[in-house]
Amino acid sequence: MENFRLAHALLISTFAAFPTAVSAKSYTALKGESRISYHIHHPLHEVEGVSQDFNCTVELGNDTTRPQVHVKASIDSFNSGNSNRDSHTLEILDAFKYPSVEFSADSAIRVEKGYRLFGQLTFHGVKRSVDFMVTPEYSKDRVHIKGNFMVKLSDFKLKRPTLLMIPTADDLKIDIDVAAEGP
Amino acid sequence: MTLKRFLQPTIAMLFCITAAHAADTLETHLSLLPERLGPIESVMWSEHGAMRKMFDFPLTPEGREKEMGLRRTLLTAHQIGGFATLASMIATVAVGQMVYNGNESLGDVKSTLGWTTVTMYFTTASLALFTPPPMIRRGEWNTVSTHKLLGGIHFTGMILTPLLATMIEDQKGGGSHTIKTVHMISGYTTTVAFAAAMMVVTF
Repeated sequence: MENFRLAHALLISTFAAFPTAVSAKSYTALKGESRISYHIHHPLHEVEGVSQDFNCTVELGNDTTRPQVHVKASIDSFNSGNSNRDSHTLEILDAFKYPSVEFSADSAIRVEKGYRLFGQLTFHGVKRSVDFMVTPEYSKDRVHIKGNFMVKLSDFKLKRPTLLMIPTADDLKIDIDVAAEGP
Repeated sequence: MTLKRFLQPTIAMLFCITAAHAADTLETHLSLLPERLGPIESVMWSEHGAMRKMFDFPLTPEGREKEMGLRRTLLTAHQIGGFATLASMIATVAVGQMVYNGNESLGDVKSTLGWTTVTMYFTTASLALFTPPPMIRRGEWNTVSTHKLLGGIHFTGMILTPLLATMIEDQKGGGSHTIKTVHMISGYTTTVAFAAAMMVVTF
């Protein structure tokens, strides 16, 4: 009985700490309509790898500067149209050890055309702070979010992939195009 | 009213927890071996392949990581060997054309270059043939598929061309003009297919 009272008190205090949760809106990315892609430059050609199979949730409360964004994509879901190249990418990324890439954001500031999102990117077992612009477009019960940012492979302790012994650029551009559905 | 005030945040919190959980429960589909294995890969690197039984190549994530290191080493050597073989092949074709045009004094040089090319070619090919399988293989047509298709052409050429060379050397009087011409065409075709196979992987 004492434990029950304690649990109840904890529950009440938890809810009291999140007054905006009552009006929280949760959006989940629509698979097939959303995509995350990476772009990398090699002197011989440009490479684009696309994933349309990832999880993304966005929690929006009354305070839009405190969104809860969580994106998780399996490394092997990225397809560059050449599985031999993708296999090489998985080797470089130590995919057995680090099978996913993850992004979590918990703050944003309103800027002219959208929001600047601040969060943490976990990639190849390395967590780093990133911030980038996103532009949301709201429709009836959907939000369409677009944005992109650059990371450096060396920042995530990654060796640059090579083709014919020529390495790619160190810069990796990530494009996000998420169509999310609300409750 | 009290119940409503209690239920609203409860439902909202549960919703948040469920949504967060959804992002955490992502499944990865990465298998230890790709679904499609070639005939040599099956014999050597499948779950019960020869390399697993005879050598220390366990089919585990750690084991496959080491195999990927070996794969990269062998494929890099395959690329370097490819460039060296192409250079040797072009030299053989050039000297061979001189011999065909009547400069018989270069016959021994051509023969030496030819057998050097054959040795380099099969060494380079074996580096790719015996390499551990990739992490994934989707089965789409890609540049490596074209590389392998052209490989079928130059592999046939690398069997046929030395065979014809042996026939020419064995025949009295240096072989017939027809065999020499077929040998020459085979040599050129092999060289072009080999160079194209190298170029295509860069697309």
